[in-house]
Amino acid sequence: MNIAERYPAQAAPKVGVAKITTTRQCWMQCRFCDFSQFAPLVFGADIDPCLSLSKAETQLKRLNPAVKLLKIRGGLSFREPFSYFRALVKTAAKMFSGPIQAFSPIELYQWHRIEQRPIRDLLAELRWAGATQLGPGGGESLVQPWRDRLSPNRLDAEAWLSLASLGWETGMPPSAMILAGRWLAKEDLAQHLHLLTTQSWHHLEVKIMRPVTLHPELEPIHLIALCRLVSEIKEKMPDTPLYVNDPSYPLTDDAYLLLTRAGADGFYTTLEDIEP
Amino acid sequence: MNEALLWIPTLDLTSVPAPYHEASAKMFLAAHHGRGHIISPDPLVIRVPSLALTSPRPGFACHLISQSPIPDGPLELIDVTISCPRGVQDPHLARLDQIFKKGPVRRVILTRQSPEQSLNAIAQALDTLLDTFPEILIAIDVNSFGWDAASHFAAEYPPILLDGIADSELWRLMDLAQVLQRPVWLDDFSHHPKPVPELPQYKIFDPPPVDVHRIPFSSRFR
Repeated sequence: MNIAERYPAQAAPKVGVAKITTTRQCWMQCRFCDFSQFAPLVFGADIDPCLSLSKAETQLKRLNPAVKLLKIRGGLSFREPFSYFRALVKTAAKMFSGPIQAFSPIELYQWHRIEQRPIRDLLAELRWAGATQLGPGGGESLVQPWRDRLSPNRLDAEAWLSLASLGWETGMPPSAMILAGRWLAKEDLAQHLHLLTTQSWHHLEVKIMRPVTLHPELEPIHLIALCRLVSEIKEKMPDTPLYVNDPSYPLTDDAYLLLTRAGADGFYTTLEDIEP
Repeated sequence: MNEALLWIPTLDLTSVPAPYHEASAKMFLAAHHGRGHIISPDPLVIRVPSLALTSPRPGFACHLISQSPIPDGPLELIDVTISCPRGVQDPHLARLDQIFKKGPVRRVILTRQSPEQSLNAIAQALDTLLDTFPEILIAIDVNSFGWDAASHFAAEYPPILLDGIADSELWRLMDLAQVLQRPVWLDDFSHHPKPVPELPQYKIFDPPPVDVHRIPFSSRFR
């Protein structure tokens, strides 16, 4: 390789993201999650309502024009019916013309269980409402022993993969993720990637674990290790676009360049958070 | 075992009032197990393991910083700090050439000219220096390079040294060493290194000892 081309002249593009969170309340208690607030699955529990459609509409009206992707997440409320989530997607699609990544196999499974409706119908309705892709939620680790340990209440890896694959049938291409943390052992990563290569994905997202003080084994990943991880993923799945989500701490320009060199096709930068 | 990453704590006495030089040097050495490199304007009364002076004196190594004029006459041993050259025409490269004519160079410390200086230019400079002077210690200054670029080059070029690491930043070096699986040695130019204890490495989880999909899942109830 020419010495002058060893590092890219500029980093891969940053994609501005707006996240719509329907609710932060969740009953799953996944160990790596410092985003959700625990709400018990019992009758009479004091649970706030989800984001109102009018509030979502107001905030979407003054959305930052740099936003190129909308992510809708947090559908694990068991108070609101599926029609609420569908209406939210519809509202978002009315106000935003770009791609909308809505929910994930985790939420689909919950609606399927609660409303007793076929998964394909739910997906088709989300697609009808304007969603263009299925999010990677719940695919943090497809290594079952890890799943048992970190998120025992989530559906198992095999079920998650099969639900995600249904997205292709309904025009909601699924995406997958790799949760980058120090705990990720080599053989676990190999197994996770092996499972991902069994089907195709719209894109892959690398999410960087937030530092969690109480769990020192869940420390943030070192940049050098992250670059190695990105290049390993790219080597295994060269044709799938790979995006790195900006972590909770700022990345330097050098870090963006080094990650681009390792194989990142872009970076997801959260510009706006729309919350209840 | 992989090659060690060296940590050479450095005390710069150039801005310290002369009456405090000895006391500062004593405290510095006591805090670093008797190791550490000292840069001073004048020779010290106490014996120190590793000393370089900012002006040439017979019997002492000379530390030349970027702005200091090149002294007349030959020098015994030279440490030099220069900005990372941008290309063949860069004036810093010409300055380095002049210094090489003055005497044996022990260490070249590269500083990044600006955070915008491209990684390509730095890699090219490191390639040239390491190929041309394999016997000279090449160091990069972490403060001007930034830890991301410095860590990357330490990983890409194992012989280079990371310079300018303050005590409070040692954890970053240890963190990098853990990723690169290299030991860290506390050292100076008297060459009696002392291994730095590794950061605690938290055990990566084992798979759960019981099958959580069967009831009862705790062995206490079996």
